[in-house]
Amino acid sequence: MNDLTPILKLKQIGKSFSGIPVLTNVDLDLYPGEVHCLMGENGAGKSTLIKIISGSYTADSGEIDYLGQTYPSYSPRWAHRNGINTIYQEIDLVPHLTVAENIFLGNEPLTKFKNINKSEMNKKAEAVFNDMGVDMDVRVKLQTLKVANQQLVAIAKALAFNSKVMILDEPTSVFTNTEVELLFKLIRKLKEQKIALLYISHHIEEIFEIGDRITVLRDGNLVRTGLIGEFNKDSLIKSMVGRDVKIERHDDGKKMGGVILSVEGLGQDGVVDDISFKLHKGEILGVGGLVGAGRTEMARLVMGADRRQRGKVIYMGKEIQIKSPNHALALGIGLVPEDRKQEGIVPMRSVSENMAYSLIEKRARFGLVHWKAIKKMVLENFTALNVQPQSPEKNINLLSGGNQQKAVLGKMLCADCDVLILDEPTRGVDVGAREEIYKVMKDLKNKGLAILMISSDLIELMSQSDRILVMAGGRIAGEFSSAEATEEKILALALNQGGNQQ
Amino acid sequence: MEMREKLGSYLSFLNKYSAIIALAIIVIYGTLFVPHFMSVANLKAILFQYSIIGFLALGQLLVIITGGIDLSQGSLVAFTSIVAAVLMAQIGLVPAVVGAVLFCSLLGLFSGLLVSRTKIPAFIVTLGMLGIGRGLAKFVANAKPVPITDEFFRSMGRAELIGVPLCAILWVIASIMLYQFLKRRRLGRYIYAVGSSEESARLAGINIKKVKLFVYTMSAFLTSIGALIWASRLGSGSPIGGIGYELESIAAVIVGGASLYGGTGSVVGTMAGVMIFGVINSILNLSGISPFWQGAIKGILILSAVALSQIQMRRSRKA
Repeated sequence: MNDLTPILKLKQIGKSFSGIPVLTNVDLDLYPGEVHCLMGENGAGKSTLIKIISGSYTADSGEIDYLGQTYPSYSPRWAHRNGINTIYQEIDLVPHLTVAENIFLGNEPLTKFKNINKSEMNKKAEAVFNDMGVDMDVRVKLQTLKVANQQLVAIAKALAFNSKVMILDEPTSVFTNTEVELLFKLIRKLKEQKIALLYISHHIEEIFEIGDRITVLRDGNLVRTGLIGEFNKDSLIKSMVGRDVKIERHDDGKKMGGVILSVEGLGQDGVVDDISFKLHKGEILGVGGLVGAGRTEMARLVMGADRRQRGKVIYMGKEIQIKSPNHALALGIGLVPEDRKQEGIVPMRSVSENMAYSLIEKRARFGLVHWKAIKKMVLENFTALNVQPQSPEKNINLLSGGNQQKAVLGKMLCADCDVLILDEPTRGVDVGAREEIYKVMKDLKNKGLAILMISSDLIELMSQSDRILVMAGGRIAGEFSSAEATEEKILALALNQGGNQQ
Repeated sequence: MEMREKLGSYLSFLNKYSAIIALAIIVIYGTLFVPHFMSVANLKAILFQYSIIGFLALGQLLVIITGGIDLSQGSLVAFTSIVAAVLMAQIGLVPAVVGAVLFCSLLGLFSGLLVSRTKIPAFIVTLGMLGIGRGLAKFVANAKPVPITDEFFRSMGRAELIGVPLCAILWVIASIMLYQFLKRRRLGRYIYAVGSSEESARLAGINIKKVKLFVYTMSAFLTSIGALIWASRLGSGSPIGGIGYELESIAAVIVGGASLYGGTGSVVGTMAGVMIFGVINSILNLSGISPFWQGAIKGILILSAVALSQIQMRRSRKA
């Protein structure tokens, strides 16, 4: 492999978003016919790197050598036309067109009257699938295919465009085991055709089965690139985590109270299964795991935002059937969602109005909104949370992410919850606001609230939680007390059991 | 599970041909229970009247497949009729007809430019054009009908070829051409691609702006043809004509199986949709049902068509 020149070479790539560096001086070589695995925990910078290679992002610094030419950047279209193709997790295809039409979209074979030559197009598409060794009806609409098969169409499309570099972004996350086998067979075939593959996956077993080399990113920095033989599972996890940070655990010696919420055997097909845990009064229960492990989905099921197929939710000693998030709130279970912009705030309205939404029904008098009582309560919480700027009538859009998050938290405080589910409470929040959010969480805990905190930030998870659950592949992979948890242990659990659902 | 799949494929079949099946049922009902429905004179009347909406619906179909909407069609009917009538008195038949089609298409081009190059939603752009078209028509005509004296032009709207209304024949020819275009030409397929997933279409190198520009221009062009037939039958240009026609064309396209979210829609379905409204209209009139009811019945039809496609969509998403 090494006697060849790399087909793609990233040199000293740097990228930051609103001043926060996401990638710093990253180098990466891709050789024809290799499977190069890109590893790193959530937020290590993998996605950003892929997007730079595929042309979606422009690097702030550094250059890309491709086929002997140097480019500071290029467009996604250029990349696509010149043989750099990305197979994304969310599939970039057109659902209403047929498989063959998708493969040749923008490049259709024509008859001499410039009509689309359908039979030729179908034949060519079939030939591509034949080469891949995949059985596929190219005449059906893409939307009728299973997601795994849509992935295969995306790969076929790349091949039809004479792909030289193919980036596979967690291709197996939607696959069953047999489908994974099929994909690996296909990848081996692509290697023979001297296509360079950049492979991103959270499943460590897969990496060791299919990979030739590994590059590990951590916090936007290149940690190590090496042949697969230079790594074993433990050393790989170690280099992914590798931080030597002292974690200050909050241990105020306060005992937690009795069980307030317990979940038994919660499950929904294709999402999560067999979820059981107990949440105590005055406890912060952290939920760790990789993106896609089913944590948010689990929270939505508990909250009644999605309907569960199996399992029980027992709240304050009684089995309850939560019908909707609104119902959950009335019972005293509040959710601060992960996607603040989409689910947490009502944009264009004032901060105080946003905070009041959870109250409007509870504090109604004669069926009318009782604004006076609401305003009073909102103001109390507003001051307690130290939302900046200190004007509750300000449009919430104008606040920083951290202050928006405080307002969302305030909305839940107003609702007198006994249980709070926080999904990534500090994502996109600056350090100062983060500390304040932690402080609020602690206050709530001391008041006897139970908090379920989903977090991808290992340090946050370990420093804030009393206990930590780790989820993988839609199931609970294990549990730690805050004393016994280490980054390696959590990550090993999260990665290890990332088996595919059958 | 199997039952479900069966039900799913059954539903998708129903959805695909729902407009044609519905049309057939309504026609059978009319033939059996409504006196004078199945008569040559009545069928001709339906075709004469509804081939105008037919042209509008073909244009509307293109716009709706891209996920847009064209609310300006009704006003453009008035605008085209006025331009044609005014020009005909001054520069003669052929230049007037060409001029009217051209001016109307230009307004469509303008809508297309706004939709494709700005972030203004199609709803707003064409709502604006609805006002502009009507305003221009009133301005040019001084808010009064403009009579058309050209006998040849007046006769075309009533002309028949071997007993079939000429305008209906033209509509069918236009439909066949559009069908072929949507099936076989690149641009035709790109219209579906843009409506189905604009981002994927862009990444595939499709010129989204060109596609959008084309559909709005085409919608105005086809509207102007419908408008000329309308003016010919009326024997004048009218600044207050065509009110609400855009809603009828939208309804026909939707009942014909297209989704307002874009990506789907067919010429055959649209033709069936147009005919459904034509036939129902005729049946209601012949049965002596109050015209006030007719709007409500059409409304129910539209809602059921959309409900059916929603059920279908939810099923396909689950699969």
